[in-house]
Amino acid sequence: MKKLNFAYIKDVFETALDLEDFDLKLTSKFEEVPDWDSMGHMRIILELEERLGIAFEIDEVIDVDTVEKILQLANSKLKT
Amino acid sequence: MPEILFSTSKSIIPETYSNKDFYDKVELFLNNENILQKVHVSDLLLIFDKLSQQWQKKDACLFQLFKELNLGFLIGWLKRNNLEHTLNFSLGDYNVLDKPVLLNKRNIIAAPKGLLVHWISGNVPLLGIISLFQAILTKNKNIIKVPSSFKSVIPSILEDIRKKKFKIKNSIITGEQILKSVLIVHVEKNDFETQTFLSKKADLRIAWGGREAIENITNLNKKIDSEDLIMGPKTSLGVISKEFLRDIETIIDLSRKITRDVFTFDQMGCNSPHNLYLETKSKSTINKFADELYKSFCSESKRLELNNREPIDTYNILCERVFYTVQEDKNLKCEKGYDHNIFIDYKNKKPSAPLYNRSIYLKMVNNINDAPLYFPYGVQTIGIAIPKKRAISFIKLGINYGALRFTEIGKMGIYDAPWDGVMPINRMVKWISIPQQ
Repeated sequence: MKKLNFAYIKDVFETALDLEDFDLKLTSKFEEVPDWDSMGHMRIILELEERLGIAFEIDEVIDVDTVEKILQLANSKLKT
Repeated sequence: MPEILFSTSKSIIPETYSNKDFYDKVELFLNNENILQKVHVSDLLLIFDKLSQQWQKKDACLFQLFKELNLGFLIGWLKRNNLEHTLNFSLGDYNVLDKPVLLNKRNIIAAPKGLLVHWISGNVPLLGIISLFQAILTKNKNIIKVPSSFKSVIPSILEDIRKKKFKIKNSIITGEQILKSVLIVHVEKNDFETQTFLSKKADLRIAWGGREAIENITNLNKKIDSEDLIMGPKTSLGVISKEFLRDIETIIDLSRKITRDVFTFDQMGCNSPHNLYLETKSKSTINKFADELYKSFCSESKRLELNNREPIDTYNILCERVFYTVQEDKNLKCEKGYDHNIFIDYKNKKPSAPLYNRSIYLKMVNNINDAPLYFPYGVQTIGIAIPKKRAISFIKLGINYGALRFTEIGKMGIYDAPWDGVMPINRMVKWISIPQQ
């Protein structure tokens, strides 16, 4: 499967968190993004799972706290 | 007077009762059939997975409640793959809850313990909720005594489940059916008569809380063969080796992770760090670490307001701040408000008593293997940032000094199994051997 890119993850974030005016970057951190709290985090993860047909382990997702880490995690799951 | 806060039985209405009427209602609940025994665990897993999917939606009734109480972890915990993993890890094969399974050449089945009575503590509602879901998965009947501080949280969650219908394969299972085995009550902590009544009914008493609460519960009379699952007062800390203190990017990353561990439930969980040991002899290194941690605390506290600070907490923080300001072998990083504190102790290696309210103590050790010598009694989680090749020897030493859980810094706030040295789900069943057929 093709590697995911920032544009894809940006769309995931915008859908999961209803981001409208926020300028999300690859380097954006958990504490900088509106509504990216524990509930927002699970919404991002579940959105990714639904789109990609994969399942993450809780341990895998708990400390992915930047957009870049989320992208890397998603790509690593696609390889396996 | 004792209250019933949730029941699905039409003849057990949620309200306050006299002691005698309360006992009659509890007997009624206990005499009702346990319908859970007819539901396959695989169906329960599907139901919980559906709840996970439904509750994460912004238009879900409980979304705001979950957001305010920081219950996002529960959404992930309820997912089918996580629960399957948790059950299999605890029981070998979760099908053993439904039928005999051949495990290590023995034919066994895991039957429900019977009646579980849960005393939930007032600090972190998540743990009590997880305990209840585990008890439902193991098909037990449950009486949950909730604390005054969040009387309505669990009933609200159960009321939401109760309204739902779940299409599982070709049949419908209702939330009402699943919850017939659950009774939520509130009893004043000094009502020993009612607490003893509940205690004597229990096949397993599950007690969460501080020393006084646990002692009160364990001193109640109980059935001769009843068991206890005690999740008592514990404290946790972090240990960071020198390898993780060498470059600024690693320090920044660790600071953000520690912030997460501290800010989750504002250190009210026994798995939150209150002391951090850094493997360094350099004041400059510990100060640099404190600077980055301070920036991370400031950033996160803008997003997450600190809840429930009592006047006595403010007083204690102020006293500690003065003490750390005037002592030559100490330092302090804090802002004008009382929202968070980083206390740096260059000399004293003993862990400081928890101050809560997003307060953490940084200590210096020459070698990480010195840190366990200072572990307090009742230590639970050690969050580590140690290279693999050094971690094993540190962990072995830490176990000798009482630590019950080791995890990476940043993951201290996860609730997993084992917990407090036990496999809770395993304790909720009776293991029964049967002849091979």
